[in-house]
Amino acid sequence: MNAVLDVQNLYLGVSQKRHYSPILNGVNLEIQRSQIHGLVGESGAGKSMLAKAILGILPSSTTIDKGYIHFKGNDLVGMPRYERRQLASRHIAMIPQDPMTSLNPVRRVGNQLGDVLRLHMKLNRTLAQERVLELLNDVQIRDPKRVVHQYPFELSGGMRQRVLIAMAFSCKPELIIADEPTTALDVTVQRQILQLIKQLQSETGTSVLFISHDLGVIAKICDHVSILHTGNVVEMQSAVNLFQNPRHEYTQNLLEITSHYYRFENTD
Amino acid sequence: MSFPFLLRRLVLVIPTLIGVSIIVFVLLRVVPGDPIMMMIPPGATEDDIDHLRQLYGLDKPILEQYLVWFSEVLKGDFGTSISLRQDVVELILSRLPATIELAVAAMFISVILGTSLALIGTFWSNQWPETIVDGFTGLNQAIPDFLWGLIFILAFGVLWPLLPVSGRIDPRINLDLVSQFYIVESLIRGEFSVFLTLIKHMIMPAIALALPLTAVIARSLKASLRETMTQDYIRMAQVKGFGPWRILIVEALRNAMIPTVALSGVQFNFLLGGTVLIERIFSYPGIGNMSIGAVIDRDLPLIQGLIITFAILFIVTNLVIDMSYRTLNPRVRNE
Amino acid sequence: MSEPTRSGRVHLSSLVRTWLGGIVIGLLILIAIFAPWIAPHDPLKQDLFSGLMAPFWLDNHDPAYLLGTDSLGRDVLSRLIYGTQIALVVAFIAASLAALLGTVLGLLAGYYGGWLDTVVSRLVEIWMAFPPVLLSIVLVAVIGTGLHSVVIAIVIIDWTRFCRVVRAETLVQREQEYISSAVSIGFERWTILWREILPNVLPLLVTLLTLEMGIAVIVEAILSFVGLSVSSDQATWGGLIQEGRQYVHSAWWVMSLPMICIIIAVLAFNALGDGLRTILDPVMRK
Ligand SMILES: Nc1ncnc2c1ncn2[C@@H]1O[C@H](COP(=O)(O)OP(=O)(O)OP(=O)(O)O)[C@@H](O)[C@H]1O
Ligand SMILES: [Mg+2]
Repeated sequence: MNAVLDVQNLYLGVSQKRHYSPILNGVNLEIQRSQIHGLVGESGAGKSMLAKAILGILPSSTTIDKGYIHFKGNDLVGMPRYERRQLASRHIAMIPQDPMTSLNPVRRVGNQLGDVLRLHMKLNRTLAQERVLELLNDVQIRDPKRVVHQYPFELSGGMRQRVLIAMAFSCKPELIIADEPTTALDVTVQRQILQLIKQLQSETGTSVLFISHDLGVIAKICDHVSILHTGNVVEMQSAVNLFQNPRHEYTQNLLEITSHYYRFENTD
Repeated sequence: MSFPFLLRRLVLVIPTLIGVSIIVFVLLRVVPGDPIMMMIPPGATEDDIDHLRQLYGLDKPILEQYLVWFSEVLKGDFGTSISLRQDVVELILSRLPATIELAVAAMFISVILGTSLALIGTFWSNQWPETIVDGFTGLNQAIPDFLWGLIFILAFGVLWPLLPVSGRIDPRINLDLVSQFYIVESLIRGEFSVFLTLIKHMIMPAIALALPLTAVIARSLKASLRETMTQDYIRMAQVKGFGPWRILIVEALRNAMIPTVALSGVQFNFLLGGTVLIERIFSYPGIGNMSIGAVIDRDLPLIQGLIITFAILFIVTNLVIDMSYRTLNPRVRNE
Repeated sequence: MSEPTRSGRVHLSSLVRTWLGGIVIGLLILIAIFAPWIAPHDPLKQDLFSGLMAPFWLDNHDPAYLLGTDSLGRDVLSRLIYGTQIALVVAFIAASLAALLGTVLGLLAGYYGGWLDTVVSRLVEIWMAFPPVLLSIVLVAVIGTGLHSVVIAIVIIDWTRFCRVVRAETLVQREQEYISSAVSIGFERWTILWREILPNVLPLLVTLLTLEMGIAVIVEAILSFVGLSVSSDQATWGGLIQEGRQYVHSAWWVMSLPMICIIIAVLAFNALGDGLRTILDPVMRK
């Protein structure tokens, strides 16, 4: 079997004041090894909820009612919390949407990176420090020696996202979940960050679940794409096929609306 | 922590201290009731009174009186205590260490206990431990330190005699300590039996003093911990697989402490002020106890000296709090 | 309050607490007013042959003295009932006056700014440097004992609590747009203060006032305890504590009962204040 992650028939809902509303209705999602898998859907479709379900950080008001999330021969849904944490945190990483709020404001950047290495790679303090410098270098941060001693508020948004990308790739995970990793950044930085993710992914062979509503971005970096609509994956195709030959009506509409923008993106 | 910052803070303190000195002076000289009348022994003649008046410079205009008094104060001379007939500064310095040890112990207890309660209440939020923490803080808002002191005396001194209820040390022990910092010195010298009796005497007054502040810290810290735990970087730490206690303590606590530290300045003043009654109740020989004695004896120079000592203590603690605020919060650290 | 389920619960329980606090305070007020009719004995009448009698649940009690007697044979229950009068009078009058003084200064400083604000802020800062308990004791010692000096002492010490909060809130309100629009219509300045700012700080003020009443009860008890409150032959909770402390080894209940009264009264004021804060705030801010 070549799938890294296999989500099967996942049902998920949220209860507020005894009122239950479903969010995902039997989602299927299969992510192949060493691929970037796009997940597209309108705002509120439940993309982030699906990501949170995989990462195990659903808010307490939400419940998984049915289905499986297969990862490395285990079902993450049914696993005891502690074992799940051990397995998932070691092999699944995350690139967050908002780099401004995703680093601890009172801890030095180097320590935050180093802690992750010490936890998962079992490095000692000095080795971790050296590795942090390499990692920052890999994400093209100039002057890593200075940056490790800085606090997040001293870095720009793009720099912080690079730090978070370094953190995501630091323990050689099998899967990285990137939930709209560029929406909070300005346009010039967006492009650099996308390139960086693409480059690191192809170097390391890690799989990426890339969430976005920007079809232009998806077209650029994804191998496969799933379309999420009304709580369901309505279409899953290779990126090339999807853009040339959309099967589902919803996808066709989506492409129609964004086609102008998409063509523009591709010509430059 | 830069030196210029400290210097600037110290300069800012000067107007406050001058203000305090003016109010102390005016309070005790201008209000109804002639201070001389407070001092004279019964049966003094008019001549005696005039003589006293001259002696204390009370026949001069009030502004001149203040300037004379303040220039003496600047030289470190608060005059002579009327009731104890000793130099005020010497008297205060001999009692100050006892109060400092008590107040520091109480602050230490309240910070440790308050933080622990906040952590427990957050870790098990919406479960019975949080209910207990909330109940404790609610109750503590209604029980001031001196009532706690009396409750302790009742419980552990009378109904279940466990601890000594008065003094700083067992009078039968002959002390050969050189400083008035008994606890510190006995620890340094390794005299643990002395240290133990000192702690036994101090534990009830220190906890009584500490409890109101404990509740304030627990309450405010728990609120900001709750807020902090919803932040994105906490979510990141969970994804990275750090344990829940580690996340609470390493990632959340320091962030959550920043607003709590900012508000604790005023609270420390209440704690310091609390020593006045607590020392009285436990017959603990510090400057708080001395203050009530001085008021009862109408000992003006001593009262003035004591109030200004308390004000200086307050200013110093606030300086320390300010500095720890800057250490905690990297954003303001290097300003 | 981000999670809706929780905020619902908080709101309900704060409503319950407000009612509880209000009811207890109402009862205390009734007790204070009808003290002469409720109290089984004259609180000052001594009976040296029946000193230090135990309360009803202990051995050695006299059914005539439900909560026992003090060392001079005065009925503890009656002294507690009459003590309610002093406690409440001080609580209401001192807290209201402190609120009045602090609010006026805070409003003026916050609204007019300039040198007035500088002076008031400096004063508050200096005030903070005094240990409050010591200051109150010194004040009463200087002014002389009696109900009025207790009230004066509390007002002089605690006006800053109101001033700080009201000043900060006024600064915020002043920045808001509707104030400037009111200015352009041409209201008099004090009318603006009165009509626009005061209603906005009112919820906060009511809460602070209620909490201050609890504090005033404690300060009165402290002063009685030190022997500086009202004249010593009047019944006060603090005075009874001080008396009880002297023979705590033989009659522990004499000290405990007034302590319980103080705690109940302060808890009730706090519950009312905290409850009012959660109830009034979102409504009034809308
Ligand atoms: N904490 C929460 N409690 C209750 N409902 C929530 C919560 N977070 C999200 N929802 C609901 O779940 C649904 C899916 O939200 P989700 O954040 O997964 O959407 P999304 O596809 O990521 O949208 P976007 O593109 O805007 O990020 C939405 O209808 C939202 O209202
Ligand atoms: Mg989302």
